[in-house]
Amino acid sequence: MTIEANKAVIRRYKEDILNSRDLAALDLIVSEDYLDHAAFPKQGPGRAGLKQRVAHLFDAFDPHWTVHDIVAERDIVVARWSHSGIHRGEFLGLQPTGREFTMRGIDIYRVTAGKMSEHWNVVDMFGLYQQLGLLP
Amino acid sequence: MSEQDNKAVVRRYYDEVLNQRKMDLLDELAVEDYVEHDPFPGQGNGLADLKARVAGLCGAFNPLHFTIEDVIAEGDKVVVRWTNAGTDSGGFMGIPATGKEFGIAGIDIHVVRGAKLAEHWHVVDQLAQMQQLGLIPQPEAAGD
Repeated sequence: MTIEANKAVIRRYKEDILNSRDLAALDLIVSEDYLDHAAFPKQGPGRAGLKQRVAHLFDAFDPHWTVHDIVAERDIVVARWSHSGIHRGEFLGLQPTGREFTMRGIDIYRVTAGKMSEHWNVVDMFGLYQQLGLLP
Repeated sequence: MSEQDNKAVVRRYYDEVLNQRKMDLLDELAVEDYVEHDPFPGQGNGLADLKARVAGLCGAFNPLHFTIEDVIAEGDKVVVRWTNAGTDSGGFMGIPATGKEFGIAGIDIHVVRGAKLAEHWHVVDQLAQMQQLGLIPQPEAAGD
């Protein structure tokens, strides 16, 4: 796979599959033994765990993702993104606030043979909490 | 400049400017018209404001050590995934020093032009830092 093909996998994941809530399509672009170094508490292992994770995000935030930048080398793809949403459902135990927000993050994926196989990220939880009115 | 050369420039920023507190090295390592996309409060563009940012970090947190966990480069961009470990010795952004230790993660994206840092974005886990310093309650949420 070229780095351009790897980038296309990540763009498809963020902008097409997540935004259209197409969980079934994850079978095509995520390896079954997907390893998440940034797992949510209680997130199960592998692709099945990733499906739980994104379903939780859909329910909690109804988010829309935008990819602002992509950088790739070898089998690694970095995506700088934001998503906008509304806190309409419980999120990791936080009761819904009904507030709208835009959240920033940078994700790093390993892509192996056309499938996402490993993941690290840092997201701006501080900014999210501020916008949800959860900080003192 | 090759991508490997650009990585070397960025590594010097963490290893020498931040970890060894060689702030004057920024004259050599960053362009005069440096562009900051994720400024600290009050930070504008330019080398002088970058120096003030680094001085602010080093003044607030001593010791402070960054560990580079991964470096990814393409074209003029260099991405660094890092963790740090520090002590809130001087207080930060107007908050009095807590004296507490912290360790958090961040990802930086740098643009390198002509062997100098020219532009920057980042996401840092500031919430975890504030929680570790006891400035924000640990949410019951995250633990469960």
